Amino acid sequence: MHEKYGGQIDFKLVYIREAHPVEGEMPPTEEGESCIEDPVTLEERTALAQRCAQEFGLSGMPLIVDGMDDALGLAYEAWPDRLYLIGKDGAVAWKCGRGPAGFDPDGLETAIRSLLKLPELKP
Amino acid sequence: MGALLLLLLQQDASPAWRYLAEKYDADRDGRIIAAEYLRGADAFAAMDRDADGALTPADFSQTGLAAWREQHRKERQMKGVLMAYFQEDKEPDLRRAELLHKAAAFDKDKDARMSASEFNTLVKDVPKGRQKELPPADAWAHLAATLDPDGDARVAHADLGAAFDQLDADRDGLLKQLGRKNQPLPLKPADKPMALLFGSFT
Repeated sequence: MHEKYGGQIDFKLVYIREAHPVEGEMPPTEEGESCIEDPVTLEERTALAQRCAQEFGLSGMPLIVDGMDDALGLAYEAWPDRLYLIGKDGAVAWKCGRGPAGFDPDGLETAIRSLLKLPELKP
Repeated sequence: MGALLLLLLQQDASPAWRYLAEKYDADRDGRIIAAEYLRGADAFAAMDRDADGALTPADFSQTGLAAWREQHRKERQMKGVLMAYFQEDKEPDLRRAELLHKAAAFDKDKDARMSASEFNTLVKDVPKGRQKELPPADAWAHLAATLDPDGDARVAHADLGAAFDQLDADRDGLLKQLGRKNQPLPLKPADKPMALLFGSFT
């Protein structure tokens, strides 16, 4: 989607507090799950965010790292993951629910096409 | 024999426990004590789910986690009830004194305990918007189930205070509203619309 609409939409990856760190409410319990410790300093968080972007093949996208006060995650009620589309005027054009249940990449694409006045995608 | 038993326990343990034990259980006794853990008291306390002063496989087992999550769910619900129904001012945070003052203000029979009928009177004073997430009947049911151990359909004001203290981890006399609504969003677009992808590694 980044490659498809990147010329008309600024995609930004916002790294927020870990969803399933070993210290968290839902630590990994199944074999093979990644064991990640929740960063305790901004340096650690930044390094993990960069690793995350790289491993998920998103390193071409501008990366914003939330502060240790989780200001962005809280302001956007974004934890553990969420998508937003913000119009040029700064208003929220579209947002999905919080993940995992509400996470909706298809909804984001539909919203982008609507904002850019592109024809709807055929199913 | 002890070492073998420990090895068997470790094999059955969750990946999270094995990861932490490998890194922090310096004396390899199957317990991580606070002095061995190097990443802060808050994280240690959060993981010590049975509050026995040490991290053990039980803190990371499915059973241990399920019990802890249930306890946590109840605490969140209690916080929701207190924050929604016991505020007197328009500030989103709840002060301890505010909670007790409001309970006293609706204590019609002056017995320092809240009855269902006193709670229902109090509800009339609460804006409808605050009642949405947890309707009054559910809120009272939660208060009675949690804070009325003798089953006399009354909740002692002292127990309301104690419930507040349990939730007030930093002991500042304030329960804070997280993720406040209607705040301006901090990230502004430059010259074109902006798609924000929030997430983390796990």
